[in-house]
Amino acid sequence: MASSMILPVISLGSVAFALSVIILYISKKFHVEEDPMVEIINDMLPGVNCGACGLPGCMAFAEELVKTKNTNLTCPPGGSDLVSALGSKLGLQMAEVEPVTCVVLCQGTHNVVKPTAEYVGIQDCWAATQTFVGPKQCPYSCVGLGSCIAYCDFGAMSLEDGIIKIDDELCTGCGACIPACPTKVLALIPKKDKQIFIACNSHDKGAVAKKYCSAACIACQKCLKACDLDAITMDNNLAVINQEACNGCAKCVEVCPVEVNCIIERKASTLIEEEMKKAG
Amino acid sequence: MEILLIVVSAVFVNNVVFARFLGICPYIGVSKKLDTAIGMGFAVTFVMTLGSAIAYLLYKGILVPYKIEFMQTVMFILVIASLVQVVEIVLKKVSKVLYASLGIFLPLITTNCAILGVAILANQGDYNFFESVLFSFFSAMGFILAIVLFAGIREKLETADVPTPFKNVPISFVVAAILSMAFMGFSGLVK
Repeated sequence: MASSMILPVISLGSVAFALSVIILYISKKFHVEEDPMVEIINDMLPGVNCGACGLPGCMAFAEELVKTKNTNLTCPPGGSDLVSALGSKLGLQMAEVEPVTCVVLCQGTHNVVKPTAEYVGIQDCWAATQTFVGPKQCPYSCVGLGSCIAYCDFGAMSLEDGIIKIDDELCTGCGACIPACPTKVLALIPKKDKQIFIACNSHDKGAVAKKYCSAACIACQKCLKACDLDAITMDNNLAVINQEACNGCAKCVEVCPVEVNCIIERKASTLIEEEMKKAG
Repeated sequence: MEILLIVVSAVFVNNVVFARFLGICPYIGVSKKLDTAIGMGFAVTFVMTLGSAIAYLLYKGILVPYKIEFMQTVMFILVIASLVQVVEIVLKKVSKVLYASLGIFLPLITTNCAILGVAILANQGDYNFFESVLFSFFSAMGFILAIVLFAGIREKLETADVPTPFKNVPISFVVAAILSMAFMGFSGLVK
């Protein structure tokens, strides 16, 4: 009995010992020096691997930051607080990041833009735009099937009445959703208390655009003349606001003649609360 | 001729996934995307070939002379687990690119039953050393074939209109069963 047990025990034990010696030797011989800082930085990052920094994942960002000490690296989901915290950890003066949010450059809800036909194919914006112009007559509009929603790691996007709606509180401005849109109606603009932007993406001439959508920019240039700072320009039949020059006076919003005003003035929730208080 | 038989048998007739039902976990788990499926396939190939070569030497060198063949399962698990460790350490130093592309799959292979299964099978059939290495290498090729075919189908399934209760894994199992039946057409080709 004892002898039949000894052999397996010894053989297994010796093989295990030999292997452990080999692993020990190899791990010493092939040891890779790793900066413990990388792990610390990685733990501080949001860990959503959104790729907004331009690097493949948070770990890559941590490695890059520790290795190159590049002060221009930014983490849009983490915001300026995180970046400055990272900077102080590494003893670096990080570049200022201006927070941005994502906005939808389309107001083509079901009753605003005319539909083409009922679409019953694959429920995906890219597939829908390939069949014909898409479910809506405007070829520049938000297709409204929500292909971008899956790209948002923060749950900030939802479909509402045929267009995408972005929750400002949840949006971190990472920009991961932008390449997911076939008609390019998503854009990043600086996060301000008062955001003014043209919520239209149509490059069609005014007469054409007006036929299919009552919220389309008709390129009348009224806003352009109303702006004291020359912050608005025309680009191929579409008004464009230079966000850096805009001071949020909202004069352009008043003059816009389009039925469903295509210039949107959006106030941050904090600002709205303040105004409510003032008004009583 | 003998070699050709081994190759055809390992890749098609006795395919690890479709005929022996080994390694179903990674087969279902990492076949969502073609890229990761290929990555997993190569990691498996690497460890499977090396693992059964060493297992063969241990089996013929220690287990058979001392008549303790019943120890093979424990012994092979030990070998495979340490081998994965070694490969990971070496790869991290030698080829950072390959290490990064295999990523999480490498440690996962430790518990991949296809590796142990092939190591045992390679010893059961009366192969010499060269043949057993060949057998395990082409078994791994069979695994790659299976997982890549399946990943390609699953990518198409993503856009298919599948009834809600069957979405994702259930429909994958149905597809895997049909694929497996297709591969049964090869049975009887090689003994």
